[in-house]
Amino acid sequence: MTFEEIYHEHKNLVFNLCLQYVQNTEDAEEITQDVFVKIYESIDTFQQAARLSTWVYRITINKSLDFLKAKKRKKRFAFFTSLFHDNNEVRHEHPYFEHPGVTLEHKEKLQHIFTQINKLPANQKTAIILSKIEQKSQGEIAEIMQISVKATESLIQRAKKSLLAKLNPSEGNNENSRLM
Amino acid sequence: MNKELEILNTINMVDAPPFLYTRIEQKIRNRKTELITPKLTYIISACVVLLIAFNTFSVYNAYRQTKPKTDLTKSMNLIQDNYLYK
Repeated sequence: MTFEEIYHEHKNLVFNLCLQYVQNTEDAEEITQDVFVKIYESIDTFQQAARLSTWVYRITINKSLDFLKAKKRKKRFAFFTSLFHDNNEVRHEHPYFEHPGVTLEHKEKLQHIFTQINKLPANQKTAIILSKIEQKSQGEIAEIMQISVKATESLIQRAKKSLLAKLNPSEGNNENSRLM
Repeated sequence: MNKELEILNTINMVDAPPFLYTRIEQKIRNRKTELITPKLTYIISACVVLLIAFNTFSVYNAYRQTKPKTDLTKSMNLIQDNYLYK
């Protein structure tokens, strides 16, 4: 399979997965480009042990998480730099929610849910995105994340529990008291 | 809980922008013509660090070797310089 064929077969998969991580087209495009450059550079090292799509998923997830880490680092160091230019323009970008796959009627609710998903640890976030949005089975998620099926199940459960606590704080408290 | 997250099923798949392939090709071309690659930067930095470490070690070693000689001359009240007449 040539690189161009790989690109055309997987471009939508990669772009949409990046969108789930960053929720805006601009950043998703940047990550998608980096993913395919990485694929181009590493295609010779691709061992046929896993399916090509699984390998592409892994690269996309790693690049997306790296992008988010780099963005967070930039924000942390912004403390040491002036927030404004001399003419008082805001220098640093603020995160924005412009997911093209989200309809207007669901935008507000999904923005709120994604805000909470973004606060999850990286592996829980990945598990929830692959499970709930990409509609992957636990077996497929385990293969992509290179963990056991049990570990995948546990990750998804913990992610759901954290989200429940954040989305419905009062219900979360009730459930905790019932468990006790 | 699942009801809350069911709304995630309403997210639609979108098509990747058509111009992306051109940009990817450009990035690949730029990488190929890049003189200073990240790998080269790391190698040079490692060499510089090793060089500084070696120099520091050499200077410290040389200092340690001369220190006992000067201590000895001081303790025996010997003149440490070459001036015969003061």
